[in-house]
Order: sequence, then structure tokens, then C-alpha cells
Amino acid sequence: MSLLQIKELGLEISGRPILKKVSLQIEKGKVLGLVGESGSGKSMTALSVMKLLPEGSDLSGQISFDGTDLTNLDETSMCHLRGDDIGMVFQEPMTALNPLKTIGEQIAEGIRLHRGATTSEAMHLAADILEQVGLPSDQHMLSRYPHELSGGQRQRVVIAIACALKPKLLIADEPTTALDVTIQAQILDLLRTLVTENDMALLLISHDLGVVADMADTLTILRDGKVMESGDAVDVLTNRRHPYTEQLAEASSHVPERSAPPVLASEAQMAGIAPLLSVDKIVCDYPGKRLGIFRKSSPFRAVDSVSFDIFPGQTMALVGESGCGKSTLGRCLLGLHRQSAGELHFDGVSLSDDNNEQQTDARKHMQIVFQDPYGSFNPRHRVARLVAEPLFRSPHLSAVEKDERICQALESVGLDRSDRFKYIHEFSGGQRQRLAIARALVSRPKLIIADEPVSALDVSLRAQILDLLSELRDKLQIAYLFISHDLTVVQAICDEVLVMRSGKFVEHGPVEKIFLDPQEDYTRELLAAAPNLEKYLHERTAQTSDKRD
Amino acid sequence: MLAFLANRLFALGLTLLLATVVIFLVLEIIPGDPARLMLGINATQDAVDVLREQMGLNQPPLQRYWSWVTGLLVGDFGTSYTYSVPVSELILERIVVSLPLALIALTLSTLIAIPVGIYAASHRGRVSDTAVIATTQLGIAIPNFWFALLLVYVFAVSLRLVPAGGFPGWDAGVWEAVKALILPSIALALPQAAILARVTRSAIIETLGEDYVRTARAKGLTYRQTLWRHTLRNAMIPVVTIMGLQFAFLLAGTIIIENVFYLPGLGRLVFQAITQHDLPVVQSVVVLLVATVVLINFLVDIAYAVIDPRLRRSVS
Repeated sequence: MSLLQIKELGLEISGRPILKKVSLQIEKGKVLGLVGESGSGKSMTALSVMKLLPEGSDLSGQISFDGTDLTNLDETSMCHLRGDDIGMVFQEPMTALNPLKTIGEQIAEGIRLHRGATTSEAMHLAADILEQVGLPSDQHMLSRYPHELSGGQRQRVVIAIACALKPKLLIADEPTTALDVTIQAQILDLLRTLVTENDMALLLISHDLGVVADMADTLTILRDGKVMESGDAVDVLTNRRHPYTEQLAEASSHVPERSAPPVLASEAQMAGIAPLLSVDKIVCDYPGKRLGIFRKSSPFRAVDSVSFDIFPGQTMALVGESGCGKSTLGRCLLGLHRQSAGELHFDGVSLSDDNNEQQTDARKHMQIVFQDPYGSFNPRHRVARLVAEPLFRSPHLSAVEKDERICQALESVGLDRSDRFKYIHEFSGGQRQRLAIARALVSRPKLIIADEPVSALDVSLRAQILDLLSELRDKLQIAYLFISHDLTVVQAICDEVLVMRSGKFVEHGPVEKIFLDPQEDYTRELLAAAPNLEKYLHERTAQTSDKRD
Repeated sequence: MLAFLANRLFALGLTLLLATVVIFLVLEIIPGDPARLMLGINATQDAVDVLREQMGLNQPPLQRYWSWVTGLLVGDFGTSYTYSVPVSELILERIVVSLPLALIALTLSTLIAIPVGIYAASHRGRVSDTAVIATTQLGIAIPNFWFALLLVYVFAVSLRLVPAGGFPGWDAGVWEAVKALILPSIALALPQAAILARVTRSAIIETLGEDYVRTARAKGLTYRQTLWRHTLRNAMIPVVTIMGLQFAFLLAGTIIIENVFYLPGLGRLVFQAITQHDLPVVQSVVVLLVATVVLINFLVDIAYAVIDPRLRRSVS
């Protein structure tokens, strides 16, 4: 008898089918990976088990948990199960905690509710659990508020809440997607330990095959609300019998083809090629927080005297954990944030002086692609106007020429000319990111700064966008500064890597050298933490054969 | 928290000081001679000169500003030109009507609005919610003087429970005075309650969609428990903001209701002073109102900090 057995689960929300005959099961103390792209119904499957579905949901089929049929269970009995026998961890740690209550209160609440413990008993238990999730009591965690913690710490608190009463089943919905690779590795470790120590079953929802390959015993792959394939995790991922499994696996370690060899700084210098962008000892400060009407704290140094060159057609990666200053550096290069010191040269023009005509002209050739394909477009404008935005620096173009430029840009990213009359809500996430690239291309740039351009996208879309970026690079000789925390992506597309930590570069060199022979501990940590499908599969196959021997 | 308070109090003082400068400058910049403005165009030059001397207009501006501000600090607001009594006396007479009126109206509006807002939000989309939305829409659309007339007709004329208008003064007994304020405060409170109920409803509905409410549900809390323990306090910030704005309005923006009920409140005083060019009264009441609004904002800021630990950090 499985702990959780879902049979032919169907779900409609306001008449729209979401899940179609989904069946899966989890054994006691085992980890089931539930994999799928966004919109595949994986979160809805989890919420069906919790019975926390949005209004207008119509559930059919059977969910039996520990011998009880949940589909017919009333709300009061569900409340007894939730938080006690079934715990749940959500994706976004920044918003998952009540900002007005202390960490202690929030953990103790469930303990008091289910166990009838007094406040002080519950607080004692809460302190123990915090210790278990790696937040020792000497840091006064109980009396702190969520805003005083980092994202990783908050996710530990959310896990503490879910595991406070040692549930039989823990559901984790993309628990590490919003976190850095190093924090992700720590949180996954923590989940693994908790599951083993407390003999819990874990339903791990993820879009990342690497994470699942590392964690799961069994695997279920969902697509459009239907189960594509399920079975032993290593077996499913190694043999890839289902075409969709193959497609997902290929996409998650996809490397775009390239016609030209990588552009390396050492070779370019030898050939006497002048750098396209040259950054010399740049410093970026954020003004200190206002302490009073006349007092300010000292400024925060986000970027601390860094220097590098980007050569024409080169793809430079800028990697590091969140808060290391990589986005600030990108903004500084674009002139969105003024540097406090240092020299910037682009295309032979100094960008450090006050604005002048030469500079304005040069800036035309530097464009940006943002991370969020949903937030970075004005929803009230048509695509033609959105894509044409960078052309305000080219006033000499006639309306016909501008229109032609827009059409060319759209076509070069694989969209249609007629798309320019549409509004942004008519496009999917992947198409929007294509539009963002079209917007950057329209002024025929020499350098595109791409700030996490694929991290909001599903694996198959990610592979497509990487292909597109690589193709544009080969065709138009564009250089990229690729800001990312995803090392798989960096390895797939970049020529050189800058590793950044606390505003400084710790390592800099060609991709192959950095990935195969990292010199710094920090780089090694980053590399070790990055989930890698092939590596994990290899390790786990080796383990099983060891056991057999 | 203490540092937070000190910082806010300092800002409050600074704002008030700036406000007096602006008010003083505006009256300096107004074209024409204040004395002539007050006396009218037919006044003789002699009369104007006498008034100028009385008002101290012949002294240099800096000195006049200084004596005005130091006067304000000790409660000397100058002398009313029309009534020939100290402005402070005039204001005091009116404030004992306006302040209780505003307080009763605000209390009433809060007591009605918050429960109604919570009820509507927790019955979102049902008939009762729709009924609340329709009623509040009506409450916002109907002018308060019409409510006032209706209340007078029902409770004063037909049922004779309370007087139809006038104010007997607090000397006539607390109950008599409060009785005279009941109808006007209801008339003031209803439209305010309608607005506040809508704000409360939408703030709660927004908060109910937050991730931490879902976390609370996953902990095993019932819908009702999440509403009381996790939603209400988080939804209070916009509600407190609107309450602050409403209180400021209730203190001085009540002239129509004061007229309907023949109440000698601040609104009527300002109105009369403006029509009679009684500059000392106008100037003092404006300073007083600015001070009240600044003070209310100060209280609202403290309320924010009490509600939300993140806002206590502005000084650390």
C-alpha cells in the first residue's frame, strides 16, 4: 500500500481542463520527482492533494493518503491533515512568510494548532526545528521577522514550518527555483536529510531535470495535464523511452551549434584587435540608507574596482551569486547607474565623461535584454512601438525605414512581420523573450547586455532562445555580456567567464579552463552546486552497480 | 522605536515651521494692502493707516513674522478684525464643537466600515458581497447634506428624539450637547464609512491572495483562522491611511453639515472670516489646520510602525 496513491485524477477550473487522468504513487520514505514545464499541471496536482485549489475547481478521480480517500474528506478533517500529516513548501520564499509575525510565532502556530501545546512549549519545539533546518537558536531566530532573513534562510523557515510536526508526506513545489545554485544545493541537502531522518515521503516538484536526477527515487513526467512517463528515476532518465522525456533531457543540456570558433581575449590581443568594450577599474556605489534628516550611513560598494575587455563578437559570461554586483555592473555599463570611479570605453568612445553627441551615438550600439519577459513591456503599446523604442537615438530614419527595421528585427528572431500590430498579451513567454531580443536588435547593436535572459523560461524554450542568441551572434557578429547564475547555460553559449563575488572578480578566463580547471574555491563551489543531469545520472548508475557487486 | 519617534517628532516640528513661513509669505505676496483689503475700497486713508498701525504692518516683515510665530507658541493668535476679540477665543469656542463632532463621526464610520468590509471580503462574489458593494456605491454617490435632511426629517421632526439643529453648548450638560451632535455625525460618517468599507474590503481581498496566507492554510489553519490571524493586520495599512485623510477632512471640511444643523463649528468660522476679509482669523485657522494634518500624519506614521515591523527600521 503506497502512502499516497492518486488514481485518474481529473481537474477542471471554471470548465477549463487542467489535469487529465493523472495517476501517481509515492511509497513511504521515498522521493517522487514530478517534472513538467510551466502550465503542465504539476502545482495543481500538489494543491489537489492539499485540497487548496482555487475557487471554481472541479475534482474527479481518487486521491488516497495513508488509507483515507481525500477526495471525499470534509474541510475540517482536511485542516487536521494539513500541516500535521502533510506539509508543503512553496516556491517563493520571499513572500511565503507573514511579514508581521516573528519566525517563532509562525512555526509555533501550527504546533499549537495540532498538538494543543502552550505557547512556551511550542516555542521550545520551534527552536529545536530551527536547529534541525540549520538556523541555530544563538542567532535569535525565534524573535526575528522575515524581512531580517535572506532568501535561503527564509526557505529554511518555510521548510521548518512544513516539517515541524514530522509529516508523513512533504510536498515541495519548486523549492529551490528562486534561489542561487549554492543555496539550492544546501536546501536540497537539507530536504534529503530531513526525509531520511524522519522517514518522510517527499513529492518534489521541479522543472529542472538535474535537481530531480539528484534527488528522486521515482519520477513522473507531466505535460499538458497528462502523465507522459513514470518509473524509476535513473531508468527513465537514462533510457529516455518516451520522446518527450528525450526532448526534455536534450533541452536541459542543450548546447547551441556555432559556426565560428570562440573569441578569446589572448588571441584577439595578439591579433591586434581593439576591444569593443573596455572597462577600467570601475566602482559603483549605492548611496547609504538615510538614518535621519541629516545623517546617512556610508555608501554600499556594489562593484569594487573591476576591469575587463569584451572584443567584437565575443560572448562574455558574468556569473556569481545574487547580490554579488553583477546586475549593477551591467546597469553601469548601460549608463543606467552612474559609476563612482573608473573609465569606460565603448567602440573607441569614452563613456565616462558627461553626455555628449559622440557618446549618444555610441550608446545606440549597446542594448539590453531583461530577465522578465512579462514585466519588461508596456502592455498598452503595440509591438511595433515597443520594438522601435531604441530607435529614438536614430532620428534621421524615415517612417518607412523604421518600419523596415522593425520587420527585419522581428524576422531575425523568428517572428512574423504582421506581429508588429499585435499587443504584448497576445504572445507567450518565449515569444516575448524573442520580442525583447528583437527590441535590442533593432538599432543594429555591437554589444547586447543580457541580464539572466533565459532564467525565467522553461527548458525547451531556454534551448530555443539560446539557439537564437547563438545564431544571431554568428550572423551579425554581436558581442554579448551574458549575466547569469546558471552555469549550464554559460557553458553552452559563452567564450569567456568572469566570476564575481562581493563586487570583485575572483576568476577570469576561457570557459573551458574555468569549467575544467577552476583555480578558486569559490568557482569550485559554484560548479559543484550547479545541478547537472549527466553528472548525477553517472554518479547514481555507478552507485547502483557498486551495490550490485 | 524611541529613535523612530524622536526622528518623526523632529520632522513634524520642521514641517510646521516651514508651513508658518509659507502662510506668512503668501499673505505678504497677496497684492494690495491687507488693511485696505479688510476695510474695503471705500475706506478713508486715515482709517487704513490706523488699522495698519494696529496690525503692526508698518514693522519690517522679519520682525512681524517673529512676533506672529512667538505669539502662536504662547497661544496669542492676534485679534479678529470683525469680532474684535482674540482669535484664540473664537477658535476655542468652535473647536469644542468641531473636534467632538469629528471624533464621533470617525468612530462611527470606523465601527461601521471595518466589520462591513471584513464581512464583504470573506463573502466575496456572493449575494451579500454584491449587496454591500451596491450599498456603499450609493453611500458614496449621495451627498451628505441630503442624508442630513433625511435624518432631520425622520429623527428630529417625526420621532422628536433629538433636536433638529443648533448647539446648546457643553454648559447645558454633556448629554444635551452630545444629542445635538448625533445626527450631524451620522450624516458625516455614512459616506466616509462607505468609502472606508470599500477600502477595507479590497485590502483584505488583496491580502487573502498573498503567498503567506496560502502558507498558513498549508499549516492547517481554517479559512476563518487565516482571515483573523494573518490577513487583517496586513490589510490595515491602506485602511489607516484613509482614516487619517478622513479625520483631517472631518475637522474642517464639514461646513455644509454645520450649516444644515446650525452648528457653530470651525468650517463656518473660516467661511465667515474669508467672506469678511478677517485676515488674522483666516491665517490662524489655516495654521491650526496645517498643524492638525501634520499631527494626524504623525499618528498615522506611528500606527504604520505599530502594524508593520519593516517600517520600524527607518532608523536603526
